[in-house]
Order: sequence, then structure tokens, then C-alpha cells
Amino acid sequence: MTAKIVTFGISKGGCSKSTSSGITSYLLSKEEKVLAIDMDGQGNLTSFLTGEYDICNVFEEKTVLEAILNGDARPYIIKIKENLDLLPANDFLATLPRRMFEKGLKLDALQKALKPVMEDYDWIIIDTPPALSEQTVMPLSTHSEAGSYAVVMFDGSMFAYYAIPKFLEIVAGARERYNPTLNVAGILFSLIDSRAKENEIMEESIEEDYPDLKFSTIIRRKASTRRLAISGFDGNPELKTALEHYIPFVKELKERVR
Amino acid sequence: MSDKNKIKERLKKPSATQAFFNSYDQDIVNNNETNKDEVEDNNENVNETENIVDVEVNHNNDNNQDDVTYVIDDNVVNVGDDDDYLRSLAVGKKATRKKNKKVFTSFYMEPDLAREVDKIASRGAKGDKSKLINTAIRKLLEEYGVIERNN
Repeated sequence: MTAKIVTFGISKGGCSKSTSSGITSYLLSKEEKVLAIDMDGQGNLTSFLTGEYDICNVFEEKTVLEAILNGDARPYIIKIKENLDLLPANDFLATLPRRMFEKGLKLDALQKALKPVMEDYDWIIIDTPPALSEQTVMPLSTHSEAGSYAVVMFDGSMFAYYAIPKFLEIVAGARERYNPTLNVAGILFSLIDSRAKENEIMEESIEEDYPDLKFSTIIRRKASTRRLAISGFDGNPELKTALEHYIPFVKELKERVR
Repeated sequence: MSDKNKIKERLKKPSATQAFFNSYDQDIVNNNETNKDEVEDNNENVNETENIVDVEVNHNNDNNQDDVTYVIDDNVVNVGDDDDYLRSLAVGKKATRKKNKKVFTSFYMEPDLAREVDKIASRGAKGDKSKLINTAIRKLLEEYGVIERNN
């Protein structure tokens, strides 16, 4: 097997990138082998999947930063549960651009670090920060023979609306220079207030601007989903409610990247 | 500039994403130049002085210029600085040279200019393209009175 790579991104914060990539990893791992990679120095995906919030100390020098700098992810991958592994991140990831420059690494550095594990997983799910940076560009520049895809997160706001073309430009740049088979899997709505009157206009605008890219599934944010960061997945009595919108999304994602 | 040209200029301006990717292309070139700098910095001062003289002579011969500013890798030295530098060496004082900071930038060139610059640079060594561009812009800005003329 060769891993399919799915990168969640948008150049705006608070669009549910970490939550969506975490839940997607969890759901996919029920049937297949998944490696989740945290490329955001805030480490929210790391905390979300491990339940650990003291990430600077607990994952000191055991993160994706070291994996990239040393050109091999294997020593830094941790097991979350059966079929689900994580390459964690912490705040020190902020030093990545400088360290890459010092070592003369290019934007294919993540590709090189992942090469030894590409055959070990069915899926590699990557969370990115809301910025144009190495942490965002490298995942998109990482090629897989099984396919690599971007999921564009959208929270229904004007800020995010204007961030979409910018993110798509990053995708185009990565495709042109490093990853010719990179595709956009789709635009995923994750609405903060599902009753907001502008949602309908936004949906129409996205459908007009980016035909066929919008996922049919719309994530409507719920308190139970937010509480996953507190309660975790195992033994969580409200898990079914928390994952309600993500189950159809993952099904749709699998169909789109088949 | 006409409105049409202004719009064209605006369209040609690279986006942040393009600038980001371009910076990696430039980094590769710069790394090569930096490695060369490091090697040369490890040479003895005597050798370094000889190199400076060689470059100055070549520069003046090739271009028949009175301009005495010349560039050796990332060190920009004018004659005044060079005099002080050599004087310090001669009297046995610790010699220091002023280093100008380099910055990365990217811009669009007109195709005919780009071709000529590449042609000239291909005959020289690494870093010569930057030298040529810097020399040209420096001369223009001196002529405009934007920056002071080097003696």
C-alpha cells in the first residue's frame, strides 16, 4: 500500500482545520492505517489526539521538526491507538524555516522525511497552520503515488472567502513546482452559526466560484464536537453526536479521492 | 505612466505565494554564493588582498569605468574603506572591512535585458549577475542624485 495524502488548510485561523483533520484521522483509522501529522506549531492536533497539553515538554525534540531536519519521520512517530499514529508538533516548530535555511533544505524536506513510511499507511492526514509558510507549503509539495489532495476549510466568513483563492494559489504553486499530481479534494464548510443569514449567500458564491468543489456535507459546529478535546474519543458518551457531520464527510472524501 | 500601464504593472506584481516560491529559488543560488564566500573567508588575509586587487583591475579594464565601487561576494568595499583596510594591514593593526547586508529581492525584467544580463553573467563567475545589476542600479541612482556618488 502507498499512503494517500490529505492536507487540511486555509489561510485563515479558526476554520476547524485541526478538529477536522483529527476527526478524519480517527474515523479513517477504524478501517485503515492512518498517520496524522501536525504541521502547526500551536500543536492543537497533537493535543486533540493525545490529550496532552504540555506539548513543549512532553514532546521536546520528538516532533515533526526533528523529523524534517533529520530527514526521517520514523523515530518521531507515536502510537495513538490501533491503526492511528501521530507525528506531533509543538511551539518549536516556529524555528523550522530558520533551521531549514541553515541546513540548506528545500520544500521537499517533508517528502524526504516521509519516504521511509509511505508504504506503512493507507492515509496520511496533515493539519497546517493558517499561513503561507513552509509548514503549509511542504505538505502540499509532498507527492504520493496513491495521490495527494488538499481539503480547503471554510467557515462561512468573508475573511475565509478571501483566503480561499490565496490557498488555491499555494496549491497551484506546489503542484507546479513539486507535486504535479496534487488535487483539491474539495471545499469543506464548517459553520460556526448554522443559522446565520449570510450562509446561503456564501454557499451560492462558493458554488459559483468553484464549481463542484464544495463538499455536500456541511459541518455544523456543535458543543459536543468541541468537547472531544476535553473528553477524547474513548468511552465518550456523546461521541455519536460529536461525529454526526464528520461521518458523511469522510465517506464523501473517500469517494472523491478514490 | 498611463492607467493602462499602471494596471499592467499591478498585474505583473508577484503575489506573496509567488514571492515565497521564488525566495526558495533565490536561496539555492545564494547558498552557493555563501558557500563560496565561506571558503574565501578562510583564506589568508594576504590572499584576500591580492584577490581584491585583481578584481579591481579586471573591473576597471573590462568596463573602462571610473567608478571605484566594486563587489567581492557579500563585501562591498570602496577605495576609502580599502585604503583604511590596507593601511591597517600595513601597520600591523587588526584589519576590519565594512560588510554590507545583502537582501533578496525578485522583479520582472524586460526579456531583451534579461537575455543580455544572462549572457554576460554566463561568461563570469557566480555572483556576477548580482554585481552587474547592483552596479547598473547604483550608477543610475547616483546619476539621479538619489544616492551619493562613490569617490
